[in-house]
Amino acid sequence: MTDGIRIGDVPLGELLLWSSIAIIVMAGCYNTSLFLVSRRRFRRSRGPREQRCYVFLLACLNEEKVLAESLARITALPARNTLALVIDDASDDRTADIARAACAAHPGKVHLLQRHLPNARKGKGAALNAGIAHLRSSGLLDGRDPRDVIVCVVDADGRLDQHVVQAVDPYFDNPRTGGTQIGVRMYNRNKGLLARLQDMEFVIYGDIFQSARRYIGSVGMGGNGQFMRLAALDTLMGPDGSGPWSDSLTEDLDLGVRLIAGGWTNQHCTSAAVSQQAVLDVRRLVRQRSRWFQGHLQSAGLVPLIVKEVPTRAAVDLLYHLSSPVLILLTSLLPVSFLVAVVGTVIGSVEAGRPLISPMWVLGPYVLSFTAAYAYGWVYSRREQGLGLVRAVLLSHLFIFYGYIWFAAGWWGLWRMLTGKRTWLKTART
Amino acid sequence: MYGKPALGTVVPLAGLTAAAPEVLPGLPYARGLQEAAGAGFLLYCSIAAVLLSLKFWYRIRNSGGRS
Repeated sequence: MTDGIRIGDVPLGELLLWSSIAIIVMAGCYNTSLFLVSRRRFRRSRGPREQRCYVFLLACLNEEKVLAESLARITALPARNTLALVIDDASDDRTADIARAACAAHPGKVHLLQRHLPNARKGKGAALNAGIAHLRSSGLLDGRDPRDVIVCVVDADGRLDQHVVQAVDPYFDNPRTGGTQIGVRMYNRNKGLLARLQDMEFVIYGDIFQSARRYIGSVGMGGNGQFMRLAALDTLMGPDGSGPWSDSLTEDLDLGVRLIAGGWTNQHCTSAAVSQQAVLDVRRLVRQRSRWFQGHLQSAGLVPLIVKEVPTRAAVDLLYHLSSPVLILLTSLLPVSFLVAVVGTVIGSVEAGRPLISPMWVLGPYVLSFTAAYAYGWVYSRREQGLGLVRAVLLSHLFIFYGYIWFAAGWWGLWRMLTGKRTWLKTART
Repeated sequence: MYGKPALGTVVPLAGLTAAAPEVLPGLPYARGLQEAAGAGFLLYCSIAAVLLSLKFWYRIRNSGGRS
């Protein structure tokens, strides 16, 4: 259809074909660059050590299955000046009872804020904002300098490493540090291939992409294991007194970008992690990722802020980051194209009575698709010593296909956005 | 986005059509899909160019204001 049209000497169809290849080349160059940058040794800038207070916020909606374990780990942290605030977002189950029991067992160290309908269940951002407001109004932070109060958002299923405070604290010696994201792992990663691949996904994202973004100045915040200086959060408060978190489906992404735009530095700590529960069902996983994808699309509203306020290098990376959903939707057409071509060739071979497949059919796509698997496998094997390099590389070949989940999630998320659907059921615990 | 590693690792049709010169069933559809992705990417590049130009304009304007 496009072959009749020419741009200069080049048929339009050919130009478009090569343009589609350019997506893969661009993404491949970006991934390779960040992999190389992430291998550099990172030096923290140091400042005077301060005695800081760590506040763990757990926004909970029906978390009776996982909350007790998370609180047990937080209260067992070998650190002084810590407290946990459970924000019960009008749960139907025993979430509040479990929190009350923890309050009784650890007086002064665990607190409960109960929200009630119709004000509750307005999203995670709203619950966290209520938590911050409660910290102020309850006097829990009276006499503390907001610069020395570190607020950590933990999911109710989050299991923090025991040394997490000691690992994160030095990053806040730099007074410009607004937030520090720690690594994310799956504690049930031995429960099947899907859980293992999610663990690999988070390790690769943290150890390659987030680590490299420390040099670019564009580290993102995640919804779990996100440590923020209270003074930095204060600068994000709305003029109407609204809290620092937005009502976006990806309030963590939104907050991280606004911190950078506000002149704060985000850090990524590779020496500590929070472990969460992997989703063990493909349909639920796609649904979860659709929610993230839709939230990412909503974050397009941050583009003017990035263009105006964020330093150039970080801005370029953040613009690429925020636009990656568009690229995912575009590239999703390529595997479908490949599949159609393969089926067509098989049919053509049968009709011709001889194979029409050349070695290039295997070699070219393999090189283009799976070269990254060797780097990803190597990075993962360093985190998961027991797995071994060979098995990690084999696993990362499956990881490439696992990434295709985002294509399904992307179109679903786009559909929900176009049809004006904004409410989501949270991912159920098992 | 956690799905970013998925970019750059998709199987494309690139070069494959040249390897099979016969008219194969479905190949026009395969080409059409790839061309649609390419057209989308050109649009993406155009918008990116505008945004980057704006960014550099703000940078020049701000540095001018400071001097």
